Amino acid sequence: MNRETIKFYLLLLPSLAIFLLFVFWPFAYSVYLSFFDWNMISPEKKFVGLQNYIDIIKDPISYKVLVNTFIYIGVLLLMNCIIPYIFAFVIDVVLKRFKNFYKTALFLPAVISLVVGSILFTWLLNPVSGPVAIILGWFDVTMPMWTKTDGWVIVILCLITSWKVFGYNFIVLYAAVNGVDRELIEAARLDRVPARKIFMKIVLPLSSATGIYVLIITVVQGLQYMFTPIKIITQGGPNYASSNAIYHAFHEAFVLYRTGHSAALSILTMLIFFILLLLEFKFVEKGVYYEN
Amino acid sequence: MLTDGTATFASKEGIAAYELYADMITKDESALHIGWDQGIQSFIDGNVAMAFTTIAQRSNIQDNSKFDVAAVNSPVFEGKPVRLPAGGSMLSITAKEEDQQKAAWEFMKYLYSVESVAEWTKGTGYVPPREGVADAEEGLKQYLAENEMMKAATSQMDGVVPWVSFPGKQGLQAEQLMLDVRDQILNGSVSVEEGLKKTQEEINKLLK
Repeated sequence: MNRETIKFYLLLLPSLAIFLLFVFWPFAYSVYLSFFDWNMISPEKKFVGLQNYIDIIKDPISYKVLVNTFIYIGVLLLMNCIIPYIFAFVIDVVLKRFKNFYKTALFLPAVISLVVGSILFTWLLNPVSGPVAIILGWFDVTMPMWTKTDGWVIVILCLITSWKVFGYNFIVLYAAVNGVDRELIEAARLDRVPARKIFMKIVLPLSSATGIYVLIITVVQGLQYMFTPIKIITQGGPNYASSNAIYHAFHEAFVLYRTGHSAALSILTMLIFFILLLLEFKFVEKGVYYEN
Repeated sequence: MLTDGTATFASKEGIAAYELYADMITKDESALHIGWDQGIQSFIDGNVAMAFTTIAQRSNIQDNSKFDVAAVNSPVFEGKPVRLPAGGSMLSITAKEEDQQKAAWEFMKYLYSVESVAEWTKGTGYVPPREGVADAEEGLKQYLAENEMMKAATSQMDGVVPWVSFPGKQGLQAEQLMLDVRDQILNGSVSVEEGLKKTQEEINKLLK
């Protein structure tokens, strides 16, 4: 190895050390813990082999939680990937004025903590005395008790999270849409191509590299951000209706102190996401345009 | 709830008591099925007529409601004694050296003195965890005269029972099962009798 290579490895060392400490070591320890029965404080851990995994597969709650995870992914993709994409296109290509105002206004909530947001929205969306309920009352509409209703609870919690996440995704997608060659769009406009087709056939494919990035972080980061409103507002919801695989792993470990179960659930969740990633590589990567 | 280490809450009386509450939500809709924070907000706003909650919310409700608000003692089924569940407090000395233990004991006595407990009560909103504070001059006598709502709690202290603590390693999970069945019952997806009996069986299996 010449001196240059050694220098490169030394420069990588800080990042690698942090990764090792905060990502690889906990992962390895989780795999280890998933074969034990441990309550996090007892000095002895009991080896149980695959029993934790079997318990999870036999438990009906795991399936409810898994279905919820996919519902969350669907709603998050709609609110934080598809809609910001459309907004970015409309504000960049279609609108002529007030662009900067929209950009600032849409990004502003992203700097506010989600804890504060959750507490605010608990009051704003109070189905009996909140401002939204009062306004809906003028139109004779009663708000559902969303903290106690299956289905609604997931939608509202996603809305609260997207209040924060939308801005960041929007700005990233806006930059990508901005990078699409204006001449192509002008040429399409001259040919009287409708805006919808400009979006689907020109802008979307050319910005798809960023689009894929936003798709992936919407799912991954979105599910992590969701933890905050779930913990503050519903703690897993009426009978696990707002819980997802990530929150349930936290619940098992830090509320019920069943560390082995939680680790096994985390590993199983990781396997499922790994399969999703494989599917993404197989079916989606081909259509993505990378400029170099 | 617990008799000799087994769960026994699904008795005839337990089911009847739970049904009273569940029917208010599912049958005649006189009770609001809503989360705790939002429920208190709605009571303070004047949209909800009655709130049955912890005494710790007293200063929040007293200071923020714009109407004349009062607190009353807990209603009770005919012929039965009033029983109110309450959390406890525990101070423990973990020092190993004798002079440290003596010092910790002095501090503990100070913490449990009438004045300290009175300050604690004013700060947290909970009832004083020892006798002799509510009526003492240097205790809460003045405070209770000014904050009438507090009397509802202090006058019922002899009916206090501890929260159920399910024994064994699966105690937390047993508690979680009770929360789950509450949501199932109040959602209307299972009847009170069915839900309570099934949960009692599951908890007793866990407690073995």
